[in-house]
Amino acid sequence: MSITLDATLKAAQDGINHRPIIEIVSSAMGDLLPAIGNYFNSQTATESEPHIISLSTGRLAVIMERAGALKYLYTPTDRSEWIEVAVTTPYALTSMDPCICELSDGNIGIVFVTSQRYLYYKIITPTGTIVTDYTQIYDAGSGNWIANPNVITLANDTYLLVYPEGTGTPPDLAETYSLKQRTSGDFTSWSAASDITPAAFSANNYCNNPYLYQVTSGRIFLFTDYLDDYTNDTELNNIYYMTSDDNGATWSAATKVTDYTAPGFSATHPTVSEKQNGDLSFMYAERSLVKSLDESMTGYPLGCFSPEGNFEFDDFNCFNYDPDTGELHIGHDNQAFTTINAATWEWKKTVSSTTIPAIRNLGICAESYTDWSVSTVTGTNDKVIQAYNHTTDEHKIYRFNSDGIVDAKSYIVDTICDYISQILVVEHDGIQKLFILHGGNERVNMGWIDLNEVIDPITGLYTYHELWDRPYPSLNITRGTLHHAAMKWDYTHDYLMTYTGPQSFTAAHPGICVWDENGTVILELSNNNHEQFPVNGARDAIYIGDDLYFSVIYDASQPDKVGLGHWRAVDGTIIFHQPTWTSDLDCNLMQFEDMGDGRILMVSNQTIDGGVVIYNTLTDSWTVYNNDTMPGFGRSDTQWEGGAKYDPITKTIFVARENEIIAFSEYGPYSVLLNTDITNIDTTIDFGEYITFSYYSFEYHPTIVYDSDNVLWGVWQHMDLSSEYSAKWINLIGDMDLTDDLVDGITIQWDVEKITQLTFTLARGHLFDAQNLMSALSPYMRKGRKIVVKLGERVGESDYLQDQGEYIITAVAMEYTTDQYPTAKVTAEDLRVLWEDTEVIATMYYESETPYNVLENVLLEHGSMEADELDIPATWENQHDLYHQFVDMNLDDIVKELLDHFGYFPFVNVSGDFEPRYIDLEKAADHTYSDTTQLVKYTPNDKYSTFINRVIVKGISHTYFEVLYEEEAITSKSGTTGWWGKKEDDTVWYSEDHNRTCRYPRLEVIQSVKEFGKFIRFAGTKGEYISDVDEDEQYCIVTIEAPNMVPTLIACIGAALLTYTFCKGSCDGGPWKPGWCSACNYAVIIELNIIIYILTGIASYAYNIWARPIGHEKRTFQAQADDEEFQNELGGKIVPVSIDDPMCYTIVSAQTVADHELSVVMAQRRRLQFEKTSHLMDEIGDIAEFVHPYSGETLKVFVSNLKRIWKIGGECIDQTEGWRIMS
Amino acid sequence: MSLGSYTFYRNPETCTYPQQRKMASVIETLGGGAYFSWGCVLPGQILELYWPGMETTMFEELITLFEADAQVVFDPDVGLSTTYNVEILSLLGDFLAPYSGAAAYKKNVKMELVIMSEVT
Repeated sequence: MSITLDATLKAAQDGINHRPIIEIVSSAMGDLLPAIGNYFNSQTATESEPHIISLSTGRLAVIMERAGALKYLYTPTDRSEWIEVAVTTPYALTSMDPCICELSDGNIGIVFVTSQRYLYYKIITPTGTIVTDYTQIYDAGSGNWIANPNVITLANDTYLLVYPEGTGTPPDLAETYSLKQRTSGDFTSWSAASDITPAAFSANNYCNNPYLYQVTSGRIFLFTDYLDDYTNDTELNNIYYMTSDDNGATWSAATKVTDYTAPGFSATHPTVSEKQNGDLSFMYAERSLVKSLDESMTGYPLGCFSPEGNFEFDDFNCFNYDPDTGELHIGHDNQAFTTINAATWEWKKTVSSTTIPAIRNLGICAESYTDWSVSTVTGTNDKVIQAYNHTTDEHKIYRFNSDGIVDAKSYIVDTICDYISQILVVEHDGIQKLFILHGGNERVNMGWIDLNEVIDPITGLYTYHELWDRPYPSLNITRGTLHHAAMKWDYTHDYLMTYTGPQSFTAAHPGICVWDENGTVILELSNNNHEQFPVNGARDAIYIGDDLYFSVIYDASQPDKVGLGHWRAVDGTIIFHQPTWTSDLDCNLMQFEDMGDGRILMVSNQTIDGGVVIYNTLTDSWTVYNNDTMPGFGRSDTQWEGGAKYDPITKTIFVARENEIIAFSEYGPYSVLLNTDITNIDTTIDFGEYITFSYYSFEYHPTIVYDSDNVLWGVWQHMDLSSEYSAKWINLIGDMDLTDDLVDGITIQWDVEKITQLTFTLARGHLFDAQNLMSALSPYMRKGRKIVVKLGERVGESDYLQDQGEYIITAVAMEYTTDQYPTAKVTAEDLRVLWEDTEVIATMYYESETPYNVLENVLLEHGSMEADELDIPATWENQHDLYHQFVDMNLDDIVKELLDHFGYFPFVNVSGDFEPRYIDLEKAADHTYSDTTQLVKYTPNDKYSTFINRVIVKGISHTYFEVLYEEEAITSKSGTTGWWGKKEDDTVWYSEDHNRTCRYPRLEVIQSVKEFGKFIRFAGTKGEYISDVDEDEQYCIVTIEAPNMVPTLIACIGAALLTYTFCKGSCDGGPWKPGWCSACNYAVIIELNIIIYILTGIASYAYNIWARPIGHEKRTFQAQADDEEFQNELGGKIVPVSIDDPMCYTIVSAQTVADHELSVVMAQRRRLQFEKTSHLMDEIGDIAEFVHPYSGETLKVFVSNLKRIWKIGGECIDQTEGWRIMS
Repeated sequence: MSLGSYTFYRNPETCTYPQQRKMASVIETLGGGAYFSWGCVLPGQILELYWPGMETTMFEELITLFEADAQVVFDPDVGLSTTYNVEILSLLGDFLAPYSGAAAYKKNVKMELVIMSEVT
């Protein structure tokens, strides 16, 4: 293959005179924005109000407040690290709201506030030495308020200071507020304050956080936020700006920048910095109480939500939160599953009937806290269930056997189902279980299936673990309850709960039933068995501890039973917790969710003062979130029945309602940083489209600045989830050039059997130490960063660089010692290093797919690869369709197994794309070295080769073949019959579950009804015989036929009667008269004996059924390839190796694999090593041709290993291993 | 000649001439050889300054600069218009006890500077 180099570079590489150059760059793997940011330290003290400026020397300077004190941080001129200096401030006063500017003499001017009353300045050197200690500028007076000053150095070397001031702490519409300005020529003496409050601002509405910036033209911008509205204790702030073209002597009217009008939203803390092109970068903090999403979210499928005001219960068929991934999985009725990243509040993906992979339209969905979403399938009378795994993209179909749809390999075991009532996904005992409540007209059935079970390939069945099957009525919680109950799992006790309210078409006793994991009833609550229980049952229920809480469905006959019912485990009594926040008797409490700390999250739907509700079982207290209790919440008290979830880590409450999904946090309002450009700053001043600058949702008080290299730096206040406030910094250096810090050089090692590895060492190791938070360079060498390497030559005045790959940092090792300057030893590997840690539970089953399709699907679905990162050959050598599923393997092994089969090796090319390559030992030379000019060392060395001279490849067909096993006894039967006769068809199933199939049934009679007696035999009995065989070969019918002796018996009785009558008195003569003659006696005795014989006759029968079981097995076969020449050399000794290759479906395929493997084994016996001056067109997988240094013979070598060593100040060498090709 | 803010009271007797150094390598091959030149670089060059003797006051000036451990500007002032950002690697001198009444001084003073960059 070899790389096609630039012609000039190739000419230089072909020569012996080299001017090597290296470029090595650290890049981000993903997008720079939204930015996560970097901490300055790991301290827990609260940090706030950071302010950053760029100094004329190239340094950056930051001032911030930390726990009431001020800290100054600066960088060296190369901006490589942060150095912190404490700023002394007035004793015993809380210092806050600092701002800084670079003075005309290069020193740093600081202005700050203490106690919201005093305004101070201070001057220090750029490295923090005090020049002029803190000095008071202004005392606003007791009870007054000043805050957030901002100061800049003007182009004329004077200083402009602005700050807000008021007669009381804002917001307070009874006080007055203004924006003040002071000027100074030396930063030590300040003019009297002048009022520059825009005329449009109300005196009672405060403005805050002013930010000054003078652009190159001299125009000064003054941004500030202003309280546009204050209603119901809710601030509505927007950002305005003014301009001055006379150094602040006069200001323009205020222009509104943001236009928030909805309660709960605000724009605050504007900041701005000028780019090299003269545009401004503008940023502010957007505050919002509630995040919302609907179809307008980018990527969200249309048609999922009902029109406004037309809420349908099924709008959200499922609304699940996976705490492991932080993702919301939303299922819409008759639509799709959509995944939302809850942290970034962005659409992630949708699977529907039109996506790949496709799913069917959703019916009833399941509650799930796993990565499975489950639903019934519409159009199947709710008898088909689908399961979709959001992590693996696995899609499964389960159907009950009463459904008419033919859907191969998708059956739950033979369980009759008329319709599915409820489904629920639970992880229990390490198994992800799909519980199913289903039934028919006369029965209800409960059971579960293992979502990760692999279907039995023979039977095509999944296993249904039935918990119970009950006819009506089987419980007090009867018919209505079980058929229409909701289901919930209690993770504390591993209980399953069913509960229901009254049903219009069912009768008795709605309530709650609690089952253990085996389906045994633990607790049953209805008005029928517990007089304190509400007659209308329960709308929802949940266990908190051992107590059970449920939502009361109010009934006028029980006026004392309202709100939240509470069954107490300690004594079995029921009490009621009546909400204190509504006058409604029925609060419509539903969507119960255990918050994990004794609180229950729920919604109160369509009630007066309803909304999102939390009940604290520990304190018996309620918290309600609605527009009345949480000003700015912005949602009415209806349409809350879509679902509620809680993330205890971020303390976020997610609620699905009417036609949106909302999220809000117990930590308080969200605050994200938004950024845009301002163009035409001297004329029309145009604001562009805003982008989200910050990744997280609790980011405040940003300031930004462009450094002398036009790189944007920003600092802001970040709130951790532990409610700790920390300052963060960021720069938008996407690519960090490390070349100047390279020590020694770099080494890259490619190998057909290993992941490509890059190693190098960096100077200034302490700055590349990822644990050094004070370093501004450490983020560039964090594990997972991408290193892009280029090598080349300088030809004349031009640099010619050739890509040498992209690598992911796997390790940065360094050592701090007393005697050595720290260096960072960096190891990076190609993208396959991620695959080694990527466990794949199961891929989809690939049925008749090309290797291209299989590999692409595996990498896209399980490797998170993008299509443009793949350069997979469209057609492969020895290509054939694949029928395969990879189960429980890591991604790297999957790729290797697939490539091995076709004779390819995994390779990430120099552009960073995955490009599997064929081990082609027969192709023409890719690179010919015509002499030994570039050859440094040649070492034939076959010590690692083997003696293998036979390769056996065992394959297996992908289809099942029918096989007949040896005859075996299937079953035994026995029984009895009598004089009344018998003809019975006995159905003999070949297995108890009626699934087994057998052929050639044979009857072995152990004891036959034929042995009933002589008369019976005489009567011509047939005995036992196989009368029929099932066409599906699952049973046969054995007929047992014994004669009916009733006619014979009647005849005998008649004969006896006749004999008696005839003989009566027939022997009057002789000594017996009147009496019987002996002939008569004999006749009667015989007849009576026959009758007795018949009446007492019992015929027993016993038989065995033998048959040959029918099985389905895959056909195995093998092929072998022999190195006969080597076998002869070894005196006929065979050294075989056996390879199991499940992708060889035919003998031909196995032979192809065997031949190729043997050719590789043979080539490996001709292993050699050679070292030459580096040539950038060479790669592994190439055929290199060069001249034997002694014999002059031409050597053709398959390059299997290439170690490229470029030593700065030294030579550039390729150490190569290969297999000599004899052709 | 000056270092930082201090102009030498006495110039050194010898001083390495600041100039770029070439990073290059030659490797023998089985058929000849190959040459690799990485170009000329200035940073990293070590300048050795030597004084057979100097006054203690001058030595103390140098000690102050040395102990400040900061990058300073070195002006060779030897007909070059170029100055250099340097770090002071070492400063060594022998103590020589003065005769009674004579001024103390140091002898065999050696200072090593490493050039970090050219002052632009």
